[in-house]
Amino acid sequence: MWLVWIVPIVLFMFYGQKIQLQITSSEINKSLEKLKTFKEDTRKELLDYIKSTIKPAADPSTKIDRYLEYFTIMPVDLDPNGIIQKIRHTMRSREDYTRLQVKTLSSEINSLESSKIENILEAVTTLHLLYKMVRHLFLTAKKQNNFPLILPLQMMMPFIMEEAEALKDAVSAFKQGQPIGDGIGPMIVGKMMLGTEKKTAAFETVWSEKEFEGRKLYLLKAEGPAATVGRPGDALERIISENKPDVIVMVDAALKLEGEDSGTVSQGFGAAIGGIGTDRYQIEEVATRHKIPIYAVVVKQSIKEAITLMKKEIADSAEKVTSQIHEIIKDNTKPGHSVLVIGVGNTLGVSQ
Amino acid sequence: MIFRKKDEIIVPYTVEQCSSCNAISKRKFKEGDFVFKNTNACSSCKGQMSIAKIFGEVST
Repeated sequence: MWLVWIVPIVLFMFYGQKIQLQITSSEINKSLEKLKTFKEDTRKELLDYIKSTIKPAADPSTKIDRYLEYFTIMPVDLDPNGIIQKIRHTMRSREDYTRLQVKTLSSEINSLESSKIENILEAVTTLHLLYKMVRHLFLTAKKQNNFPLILPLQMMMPFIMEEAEALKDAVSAFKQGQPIGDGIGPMIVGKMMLGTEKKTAAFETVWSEKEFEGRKLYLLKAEGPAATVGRPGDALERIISENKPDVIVMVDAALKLEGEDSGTVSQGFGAAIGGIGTDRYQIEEVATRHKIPIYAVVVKQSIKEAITLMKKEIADSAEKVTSQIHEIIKDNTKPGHSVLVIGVGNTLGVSQ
Repeated sequence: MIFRKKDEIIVPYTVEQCSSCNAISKRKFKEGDFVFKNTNACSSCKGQMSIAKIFGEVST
């Protein structure tokens, strides 16, 4: 009878890791298949969208497939001096090239459709890259029968899948031109801009002036309703060179911690802006040079909520954020002072 | 399986508000809608309606 217990113990002693490897592998394989479906479905959605909206003369699939394989080599960081300018140059070259490529699909494409296609292309490219990275790690671990190598992948898979699902759902919002969670900053500042004269501050970025209780407000956001984040760094530099504000207030979406409610409003200090970091650097640099304090108001949301159709809780936070901005202005400035209010984020589906 | 999430269906809605009487109307989102777009005249005061919000709600 005792042999019944000995056999599994011996079995697990010698083959335990292999059994665990098999179980883990099958779980990762399922996720990998799901990733592949996401990647292929979104690619098809993009191609169908291009064909139905801008009706290109030639089949766009070859061009799109070539684009999905493009890579970006980040500047060398052994000597970090001046790296921000190098990163900005590399990223802008890529953005400009993408914009140009999308414009060549059809001569009749307008800027709104072009921006939507650029954003969908970005989502499809990221899904393509995620799939290739996961597949590489999975196949390497399997090829070498290396259990420890598969463990970090197993731990990362739920986060990767969460991001992948968010990207997949984002495509639908981009196609229909619906505001996304990240657009809450531009939505709040866009409302403040209503009825004012809008001027171009930088590429795809607009600004206007308004009076508020004796203070002058300079309002800045990306130019909607196109799917763009604009160039707030360049725009801020230009505005400050002409009219130096006493305070800068930035409004943006921020990632919530697990357990926090979506749409919660928080206030803090410093430049509230995401992305690769070049715009944040530019804003911090200019503000420090001119000794201008930066205040931040953020609306909490998950990664999925930030890139998919704006949720009601997030849209409803707009009034609260506006009153907090007014409070910050009244508390930190006197009549006669000026304030720069920046709505940071993707302004898809939000005009001004 | 106890942690398996239910698939939610999110329905997009558009909220229009009148600039004169602040009357609010909610309808399903239509392609071409964007926030702050001027829409029809207000049914009660004939003022200008514009889109105040576009958001998604979980269908029940």
